[in-house]
Amino acid sequence: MKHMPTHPLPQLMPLRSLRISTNIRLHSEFPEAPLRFARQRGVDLADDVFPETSFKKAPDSEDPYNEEKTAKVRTNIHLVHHGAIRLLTERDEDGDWVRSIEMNPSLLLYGVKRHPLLDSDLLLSLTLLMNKVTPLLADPLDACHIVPGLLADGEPIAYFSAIESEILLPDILLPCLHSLSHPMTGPAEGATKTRFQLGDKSDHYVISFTMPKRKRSGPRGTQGVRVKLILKGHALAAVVGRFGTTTLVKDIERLTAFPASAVARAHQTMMSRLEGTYLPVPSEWADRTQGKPVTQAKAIALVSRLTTIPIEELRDMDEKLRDPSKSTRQRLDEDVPIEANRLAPIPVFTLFDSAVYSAQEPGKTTQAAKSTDPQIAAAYGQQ
Amino acid sequence: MIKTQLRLHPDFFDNPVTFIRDHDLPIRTMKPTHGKSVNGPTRNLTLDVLTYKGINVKLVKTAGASLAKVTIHFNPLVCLYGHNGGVLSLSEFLGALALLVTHLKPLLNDPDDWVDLIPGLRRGGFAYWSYLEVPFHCLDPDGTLLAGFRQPRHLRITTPTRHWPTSIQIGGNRSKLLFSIYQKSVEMVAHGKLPESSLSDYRDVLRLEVRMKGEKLVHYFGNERNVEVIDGTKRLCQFYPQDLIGGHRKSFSEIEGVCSSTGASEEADKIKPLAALGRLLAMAALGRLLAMAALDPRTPQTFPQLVAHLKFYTGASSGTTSAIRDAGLAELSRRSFISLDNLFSDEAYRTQPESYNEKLEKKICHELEDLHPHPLITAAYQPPGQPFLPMTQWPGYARI
Repeated sequence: MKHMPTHPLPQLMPLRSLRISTNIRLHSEFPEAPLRFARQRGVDLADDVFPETSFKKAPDSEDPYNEEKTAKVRTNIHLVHHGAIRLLTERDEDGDWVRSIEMNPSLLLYGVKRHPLLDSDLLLSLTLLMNKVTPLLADPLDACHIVPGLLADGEPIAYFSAIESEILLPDILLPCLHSLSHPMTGPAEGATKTRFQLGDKSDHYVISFTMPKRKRSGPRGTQGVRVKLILKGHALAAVVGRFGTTTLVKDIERLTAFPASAVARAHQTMMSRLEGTYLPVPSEWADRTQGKPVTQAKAIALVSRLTTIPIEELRDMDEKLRDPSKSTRQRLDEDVPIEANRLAPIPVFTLFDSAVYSAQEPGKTTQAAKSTDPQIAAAYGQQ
Repeated sequence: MIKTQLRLHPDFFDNPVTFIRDHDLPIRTMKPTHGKSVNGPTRNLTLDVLTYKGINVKLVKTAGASLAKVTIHFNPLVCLYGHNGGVLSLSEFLGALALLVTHLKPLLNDPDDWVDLIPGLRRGGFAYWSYLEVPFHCLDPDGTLLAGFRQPRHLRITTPTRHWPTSIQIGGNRSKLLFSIYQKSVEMVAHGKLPESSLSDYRDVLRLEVRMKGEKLVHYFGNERNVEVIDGTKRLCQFYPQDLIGGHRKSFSEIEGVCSSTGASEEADKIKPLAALGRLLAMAALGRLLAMAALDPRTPQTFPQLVAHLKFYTGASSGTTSAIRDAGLAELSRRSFISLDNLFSDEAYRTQPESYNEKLEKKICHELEDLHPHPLITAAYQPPGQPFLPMTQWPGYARI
């Protein structure tokens, strides 16, 4: 086991959600009457439980009609709020097994999707997760397999299989981001008006830039761009593992614990390798009272910046298209360099300085979990 | 996709797992849920029929109602072959409809209600086509056709076009009209429907697909023969191959800036400044695009993107932007090598290339001659006066 280094903790913990892979058996009475069982144990189910049944054919059968009707049952169980804690279970002859757990700490602690989180919120949410799931288990001793990194002896089962972190770049405009790319994902593809994504959703590294939605009524929504990083599988051990604890689980190096500070550090580390430019709207152009909004000079300067076609080449095209007068030529000679200088791109990675990772005001926990589990505090680097 | 209303077997909703086992139905997955409707709480069931996909059914039943609302996602080629890399013939379509009836009939309370599974079989019925994907395959060995479609603007679509290295999407995911242009074999490999080793055999097959729902179906495919009013709304209830070809051709012909036109360009000394700007942007986008097409199919900036950026950065008015865009699109059309008439000719629809996965097809193994479509199905979907031809002789036309 590799031990984590200790670092001073930054204020903002940009954790959006995490997924834990595990294998723990649910209490046998739970599937029979989920709502009643959970209520008796003091656990709030967010929704009814709807099992999905898959009918599997015999593995050696080549004929799709010659099927053994073996039923495989999978269920999503939402605890506390829809999306706050989600357990994915699978049934076999021994019972229903929790195969993975997804948690959104903001929803769990504050009841909203995006609430600024303190470093201590990681421990609080993991403690609450353990407290909510343990009463549903067949064996309370399996509680050590809910939150990874708590097992003192024996073969570990639980590990982190995905972490989503997200920060807001305030006052940044999505359309000003250009040619985004990252060595681990390749270039942004399939951009929409409100979203750029680097990496496919099935990839281990995914980065997305999203314009926050405006509220239909009331004050305007948050201004800026949300930058989300999703790390899965080996990417998680490679990136977050540098700041946390990795352990061999079934012979694969897995992330099993991390301090809250690791979330922001991993995000910033990944963004430091981001390629592309941020091209702000020049203040002279933003002032709509000054001159014509669209001029040939502005257009040529902008197109040159965006396409990397040299200005001279664009001027040649323009000459062929409309045969400008001498005065127009002279005006373009003077104006195009001026407009080109006003367009001042900056590398995208410079937008991710330390300030954006500590700029937000954290709120106060409203949930019952006011104290952290000492085992979790020890494993996750805080006492 | 079909929407209809059906009287389901009472035992099925009460205990679907037992019903599926007892009747040995080819159901892959089954998920019961609860919901709400204006008429009260509902019991819902989602079924994946066939172990290899092809039919997905969503059933919604309000307490006390005798009929369940049913949505059927139906992919005839997947039903028959396990993938949809081919081009559907009329006989295959009829066979797949017969297969659909065979698999869903056991769910019904009265087997005679099967006619309500397929639109167009019963006048005054509930069934109609609510969504269609109509593809067309052509060869694009050097990627220039795909590159040519990266500059488009459609009259009825305002959502910006999305670009990936081997595909383009014109229209939003939720829109009623969407064009998807992509290298079919690449998509099949990504979905495990084609081994990667076969990719080079079919890489040159480009799919030009239009997806429509709601009133767009009536607009593009409808006529006095195949539209009925159901619950106060005009619905597409039936179609012949020529209806689909006509609608496909018409919808693609409305895309601007892709296919060539013979419009003359203005003389250099008469061109207005905004028109000149539009043409400049078009040439910049096109020049970059063609230069990159061979090396990298991803384009850094297409013409619509350049226009959008110019509008964003300068605050140009809608009128100014329109003047720039119109001139640019006209320029793109003048410079295009793509001929609409050639690309979507009758001959091209008749001789579409296909992608095969022999191993998968052998595993599914439906013999068309064993699938006997009911005469009502044949009467509704086979154009009158045309002889029934074996699948190998009938021109392919569409995937539904």
